[in-house]
Amino acid sequence: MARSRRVLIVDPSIDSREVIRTALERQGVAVFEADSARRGDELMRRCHPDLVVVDGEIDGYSAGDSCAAWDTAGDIPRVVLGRIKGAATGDRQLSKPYQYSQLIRTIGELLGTHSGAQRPAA
Amino acid sequence: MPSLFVIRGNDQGARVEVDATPFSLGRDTDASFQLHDTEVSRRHAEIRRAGGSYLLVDTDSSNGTFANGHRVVQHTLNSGDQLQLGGTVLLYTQPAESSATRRLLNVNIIGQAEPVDGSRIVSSISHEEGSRIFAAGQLTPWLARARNNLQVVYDTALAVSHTLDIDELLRRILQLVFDSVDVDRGCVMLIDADTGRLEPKAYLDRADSPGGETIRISQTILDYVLETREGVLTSNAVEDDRWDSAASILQLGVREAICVPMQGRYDVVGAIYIDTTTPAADAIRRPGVTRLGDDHLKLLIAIAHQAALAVEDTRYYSAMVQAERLAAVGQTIATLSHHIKNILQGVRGGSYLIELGLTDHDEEIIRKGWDIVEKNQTKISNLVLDMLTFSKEREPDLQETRLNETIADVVELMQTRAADLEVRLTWSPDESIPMLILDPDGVHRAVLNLVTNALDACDSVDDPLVEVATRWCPDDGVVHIIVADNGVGMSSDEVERMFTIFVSKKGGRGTGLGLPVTHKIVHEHGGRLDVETEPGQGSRFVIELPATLPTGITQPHTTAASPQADSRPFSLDELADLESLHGDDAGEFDADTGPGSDFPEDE
Repeated sequence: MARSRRVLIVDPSIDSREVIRTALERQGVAVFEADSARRGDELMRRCHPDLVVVDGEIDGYSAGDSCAAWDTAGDIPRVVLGRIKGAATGDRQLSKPYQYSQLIRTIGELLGTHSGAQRPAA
Repeated sequence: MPSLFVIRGNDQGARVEVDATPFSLGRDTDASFQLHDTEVSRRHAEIRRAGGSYLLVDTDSSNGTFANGHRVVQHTLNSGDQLQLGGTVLLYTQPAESSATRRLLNVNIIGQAEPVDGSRIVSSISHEEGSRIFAAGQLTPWLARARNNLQVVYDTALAVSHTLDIDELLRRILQLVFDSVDVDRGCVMLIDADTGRLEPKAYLDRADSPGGETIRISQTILDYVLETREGVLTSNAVEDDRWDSAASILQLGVREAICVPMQGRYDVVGAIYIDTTTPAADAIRRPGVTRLGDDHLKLLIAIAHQAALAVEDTRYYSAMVQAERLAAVGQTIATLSHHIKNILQGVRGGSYLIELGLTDHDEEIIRKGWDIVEKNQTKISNLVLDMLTFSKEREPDLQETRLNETIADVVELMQTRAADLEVRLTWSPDESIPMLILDPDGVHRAVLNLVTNALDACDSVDDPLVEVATRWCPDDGVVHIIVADNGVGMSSDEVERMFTIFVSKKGGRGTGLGLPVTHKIVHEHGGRLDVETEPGQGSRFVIELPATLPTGITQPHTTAASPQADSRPFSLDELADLESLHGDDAGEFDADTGPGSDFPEDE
């Protein structure tokens, strides 16, 4: 494996980011966090994530102004938490309140690193 | 019976009858008419009976009693006098007849087929013409005077009508007619929206009315009024001298009646009917003398028009209030669901981490998860407490409080959060604050919300700092609690909306309840909340609370014992005395948790 998988989380909730980070890092995924749309744009350009998790309540995102910045024409999968305007059909949407186990499983499927399948038998 | 109608002041819209003399006016609860006005003395003035007239007598009030703009010690009251006591203005009305007790009676609308009492229309005036009396024009003195009084009462009636139900509004309008016109009976009818028929809504008569207990109104006349939108004056007296031959007059006397349409902005909403009855004996003695004329008709048309506008306003207003209420309920539920959903999301996140940690036997992950669960538990408890504080009409739970301990408790509680956000949180108590009577839980909540906001406000600035301080201002008899930050500050728009419930500038982090709750608590204490702020310049909130001292002295500068009572109401010795007086109580407060802690559990 050339480099570890990268996930960008754009979510205003510090709790939520911490939970997702902890769960993903445990699987060897590198996690980048943004608490705003502006910061999300920045990290999007710098970190070249393999997958983006976007919370629907992120400032500026639901208004649509930053949506284009990480509308990656389908080459980077997105998981959208809650509802946002301008969600692409390819996006995976989880409505709130969602279960974290389901979110982590979805991320795993999209990254092709489904932890349940890869976990070595004890 | 004379009556008083409050035109201006806290009691605006209140009407009271001067049913017994002396009739006292004042702030006292046992005054005949209690005025809720701080500029009014406890016993401000009295209305006394002197022969056939009524006197207004000032009873040594501090701010004086005014009649028609002049300060008076004693004044003979005339109907239409405007009285001012403090900031309250009252209109005095005294009907021409002294026996003006009114009671309810019945209204019958008589169908066309039934015989009527021989009444016919003697005069009619169109709605447009009748309404002109409110424009300047040539008026008889009687009409001019009536118009002036009415104008005042109309303005008031319209101002208060928004808070009234329509029946109460109509009752007042009819009362107004009785105060202005010497009539025996009257009723207001509104057109029922479903049936299109007139339904009697309010009726009054004078106790000694010779007209009988049932008002009988001819359907023919009503139809005429509604169709032509003209007001009519009717009489059962015939025009020539053969009036005595009319059988109904001998039975009933001469009945004169006025019936006018209630013309609103678009439609006729109803009709007002009044009548007078002159007993047969009087009518025979003075043939041809009428009690109602075109002036009365014009006045009543004008009244009816105003009444119709008020009815329309009240109807629109009720519909609007209903719609707004539904919208507000919907918004409240949506907003609360949203907050609860976010908190639930946090709890799920924490639980998920704990589960991961347990699977991996990783205590660090368990700890992380537990912290998140705890944080969200605090969030939901704050949300619930804010909701309760905001929803309840509550009196502050007043008790002796060491304010500094209450605030120190808030600061201590918030230090962890400040550390998380890397904000410096400082605390400078004014140690000279005496023991005060406050609601410690309320003040705790109020300050907690301010500090929470301050911390959030300087999340993204350099060298973030939140300063909390108290200040004792004995000269003003107040204490200040100051919460200042060097954070993002607020624009004037944001300041304007800051007390609006559910409006938060903190996005997902705020509930929009914090400042409204703080404001409410401060208000309940009789204090005020001020803010100085500019975008980018931070915010400085100052809670000012009136200092109520445990001895029951509400204003410190009323203490006569102090030698410098004007400038320094309390010497340090006196303060020490006050403190020592309550030293026993003070022992009850644990220095660590303080009296105002919402979170008494041990750390």
